[in-house]
Amino acid sequence: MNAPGGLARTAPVFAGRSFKRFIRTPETIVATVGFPLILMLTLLAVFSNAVEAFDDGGVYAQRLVPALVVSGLMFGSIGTAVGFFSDLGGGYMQRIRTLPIAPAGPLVGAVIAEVGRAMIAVVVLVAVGYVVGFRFDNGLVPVFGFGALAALAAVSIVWIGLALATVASSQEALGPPLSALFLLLLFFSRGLVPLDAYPGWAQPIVEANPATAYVTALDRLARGGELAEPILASVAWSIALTAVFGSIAIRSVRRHP
Amino acid sequence: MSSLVADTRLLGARSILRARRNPATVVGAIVFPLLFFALFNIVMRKVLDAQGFDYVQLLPPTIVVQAMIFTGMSSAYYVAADRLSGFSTRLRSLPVHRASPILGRAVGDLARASVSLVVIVAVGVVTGMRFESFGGAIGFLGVALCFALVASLGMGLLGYVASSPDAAVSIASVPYLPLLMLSSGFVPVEDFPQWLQPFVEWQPVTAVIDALRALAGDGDLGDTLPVAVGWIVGLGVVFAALGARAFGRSS
Repeated sequence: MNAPGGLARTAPVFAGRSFKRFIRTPETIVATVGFPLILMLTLLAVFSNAVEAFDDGGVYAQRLVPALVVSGLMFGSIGTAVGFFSDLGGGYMQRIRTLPIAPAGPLVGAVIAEVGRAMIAVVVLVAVGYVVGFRFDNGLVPVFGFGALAALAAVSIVWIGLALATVASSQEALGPPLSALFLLLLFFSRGLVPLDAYPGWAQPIVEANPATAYVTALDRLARGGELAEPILASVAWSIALTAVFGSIAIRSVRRHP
Repeated sequence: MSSLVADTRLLGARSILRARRNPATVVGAIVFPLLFFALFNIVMRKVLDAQGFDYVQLLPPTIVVQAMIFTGMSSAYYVAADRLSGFSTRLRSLPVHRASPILGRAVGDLARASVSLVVIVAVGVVTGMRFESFGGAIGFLGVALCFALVASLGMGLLGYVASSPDAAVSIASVPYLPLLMLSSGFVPVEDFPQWLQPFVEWQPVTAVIDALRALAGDGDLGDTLPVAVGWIVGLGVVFAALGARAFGRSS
């Protein structure tokens, strides 16, 4: 495993490359940080009065920061997926495959780089969140838990896009479907309004949504409250997403022409 | 004069045909507005109903205005596409009436806007929206289509300067989001922070949404319709003048 071309040596190299590409792609930065920030400030201006009245005075920024961290991870992962897709088509992956290195290296590297992206999203959104009323009310350790859970969500969610990138026929068959999926996950995530604001038929969907698991866990880490269940749900979703989409991605990237 | 009518018919038919053959346009005109309609109804309806803001009746005009802005965005896309492919330049070397390219584009814009409008109003009525009078309903459709024309004129300007059709749409979405969200469309004006309320109250999207609601029977027509018509005429004149200049220069 620690051989020169082994996964342990190659993955960090590819992670560095992926992270550099993220930093140097304005669209991905905008999707990860700019878009969630604008969305957060807009939602605050438009809906904070109505939702706070409905929510018995719960501060709306407290609800929005976790939701928009997860949303930033989801929409930013589209950039990662599109970047990986262009690697596949551009002959880059063919070149990599002729080298004596672990075949999963580029994929695993791209996933590791997501941790860096997650940290940027968390720091920026929490910093702006503090200005508009978001607070960590739960001591110091959960603050690190908040960061760690965001990283876990990032490395799990990104597999969806990577798996789709290995089977998509064109960039148009990759970006828009992912956007639609993430938009639905965000709207049904309990991150914009409380659970009882949804119509009865939608509530089970909201509760079963992986974004709800991550948003709830982040929310409880920041605010306090029962932690075991949302964290367990987040970990379970992470294992499931990684197992399903990770194995699709790794299997079909080997077969990719 | 006969060339004006004939050329406009031909170029109008072309606008409609290519919109029908572009899946992105069809999705933008029909699927997106319905998706937003559904999502806002599902996520925000109970919250706003609790405030006495009746989403069933008040949300469809908002979605109509949103769809009319989408019409403008796709107009920007097509202007840029025609300019960059050389089609606009080619038309100028042909004995085509000078006004026909712009009028033909307006025909396409109105066609796309009408499709969106019919679909949204139909879905709105099915979910419980009511028009108080037949005349009001006709006025509703007329104001919406006039607004679509103005939005297309305004956003079409971006098609003359953008580096690609997709870039034109990206630039057009910059004014779109604040104008739509910071309006009376989704919550009452009083829900906004105090410092933002003057903007929300007087900006054109609020004016049009309020007028559409009044035409459907919610609100005072005398207070809202003149403001909306003022915005539509004023912006229409400004955009048309700028458009004539940009059109003259882009040869």
